[in-house]
Amino acid sequence: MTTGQTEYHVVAYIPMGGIEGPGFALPVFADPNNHNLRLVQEVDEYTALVAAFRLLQGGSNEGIRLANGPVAKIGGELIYIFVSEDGNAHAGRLKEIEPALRTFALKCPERIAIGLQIAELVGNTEERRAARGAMARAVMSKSGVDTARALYERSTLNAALWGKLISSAVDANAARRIAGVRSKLIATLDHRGRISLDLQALDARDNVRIDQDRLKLELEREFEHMELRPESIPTKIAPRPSKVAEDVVQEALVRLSRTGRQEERIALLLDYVFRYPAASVDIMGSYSSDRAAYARSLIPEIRQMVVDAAPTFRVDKAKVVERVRRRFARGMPTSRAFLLVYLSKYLGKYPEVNALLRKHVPNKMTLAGAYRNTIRKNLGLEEPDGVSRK
Amino acid sequence: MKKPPAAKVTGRPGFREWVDKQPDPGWGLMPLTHITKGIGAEDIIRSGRVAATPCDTFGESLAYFFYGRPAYRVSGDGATKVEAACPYCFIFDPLLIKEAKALHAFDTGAFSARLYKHILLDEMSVADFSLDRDERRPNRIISAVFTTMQTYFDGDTTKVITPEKGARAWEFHARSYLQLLTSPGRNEPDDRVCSIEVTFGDSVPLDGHLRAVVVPHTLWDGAAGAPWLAYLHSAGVTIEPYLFVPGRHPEHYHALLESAVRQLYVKWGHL
Repeated sequence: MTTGQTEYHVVAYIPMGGIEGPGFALPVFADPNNHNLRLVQEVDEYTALVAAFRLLQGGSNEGIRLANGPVAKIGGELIYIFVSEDGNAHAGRLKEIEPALRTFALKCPERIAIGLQIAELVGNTEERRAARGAMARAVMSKSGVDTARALYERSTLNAALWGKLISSAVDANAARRIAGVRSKLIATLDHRGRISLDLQALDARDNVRIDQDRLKLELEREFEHMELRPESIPTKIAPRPSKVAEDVVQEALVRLSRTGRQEERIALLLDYVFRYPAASVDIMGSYSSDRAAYARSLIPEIRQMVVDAAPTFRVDKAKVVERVRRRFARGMPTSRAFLLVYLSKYLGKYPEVNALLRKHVPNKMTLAGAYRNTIRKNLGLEEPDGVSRK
Repeated sequence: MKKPPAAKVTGRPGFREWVDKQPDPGWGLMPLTHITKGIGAEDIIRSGRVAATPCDTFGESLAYFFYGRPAYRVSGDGATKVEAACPYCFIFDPLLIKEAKALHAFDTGAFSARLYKHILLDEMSVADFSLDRDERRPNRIISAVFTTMQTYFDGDTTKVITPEKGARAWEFHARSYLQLLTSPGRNEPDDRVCSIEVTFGDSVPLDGHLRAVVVPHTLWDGAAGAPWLAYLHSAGVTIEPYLFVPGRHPEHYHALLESAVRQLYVKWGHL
């Protein structure tokens, strides 16, 4: 039999962010009535205290053993476990392990995801705001703008909204009602940093008690509108290519460094991006600048298109090439022919790009006409001008 | 992956006959979901497949999925699973359902754990609620019972058709199923009772079938992302992180997961 005063000892923990490395872990408690059974604590979302202990599937084999673990009881504070970079497991109430958490955040600033967890648990408004922004930029560098927005503007924002609504409920019943519909309670952050709320799913009794203006202001303080663009990625969290992409990136960088003309470098760069879509973000993250001014000015634009397409790897090749072609035609009209030569040479193999470039083969009478035959040949057009069929 | 040979359909035919009477809404198929814990996700990705594992309910090895909804199977003894404290969700191509071994109207694990006993008669067997392997039946049920795919996805049982309106008095299984969905006072099986279950007799390969994985954000940051996830990402699978902060209620994580899956479905045109 258990009562509210029954003490539950932490006897093990299950890492939640992977077996190796630092991170938070799930505390596993021994059942005081049956030492072969293992339990997990369940939080009361309204009071943020332990509401119950639930049987954990798997029995006493679950988790990594912890000697002299802390105790918890129903109605008491939750127990957290954090494994730091030296492998030590810090177990206790949040206040007890806060120094270890803050020390870790200072020592390991590159662990952005864990830093966000720490900020969410023990940080102030500014710390949470900074950690959320850093995480969004880190995700963007890896998976593109869409995924970063999904994490920052939906998951993180809505979790904050739900937390505020539940903790400010008038009583436990209201908190339960709010929690029951939380997945339909949505906050949206617009491009000016303004929050709007969709709380239609709330019970009318709860809705009337909520000061939406105050709630919006609180959220706006914690969430700035972020320009989730590739340029905003800090250097220290620059994308680390996967093993698969690493060789491709290296090869691309070497070839680009050995290529003389900026028109050829741009065409070559696009070829690598199109040929290796899974490495495209890594390539653009690594080739952040070009030694020629005009090519340099094009890089952010290409990178944005690649990052936007990264979640599906469906970059619109013709659209990218057309944008580059137009920018060159406007800004470097005398180099237009060179660009077409190299675009046709490297990208003529992609049907949609080939079809596009065929529309822009220069006329014989123009200055660029001198390159007409080369471009036609690169695009697989029958014979160069002047060669008759026999 | 080969389509399994046609199995002999067991159980009473009443429920299937009721389903087949419902109009086909002509909707596209929904993706299939599989929820697991972190170490389970790593195993799946490293092995390149969702393994079929021994199942007490059916006495054979099976791989479990749900149709559209990111639900997870309840265990036989009603115990909490680690995935409740930190869930990972694999989302598979809708066409995979054509290779399923069986479909059921609800989570058969919850059925065998007798979580539906307050409504379903003891004489009713899990096979009575089999949809066989007919991939048109899930959408027929959803259209007839939930009206919209959105309502099904939300698990919004307040909009479910009443048993009296949805089935005739002699359609015992259909009535019981509708009563199960609408019965007040349920505290356990609400998520699983309205999730259509899809089972496979063989392990399900990721290659060619997996479209996305929803994971805790800690697995997908710039400096320390899991290499096995990076491999999937390189292969064109969408990695969708959700904010994972320890010490929250399982329902909180599930709501975040559901929200992430919903966004993907909206983007892909399923909702």
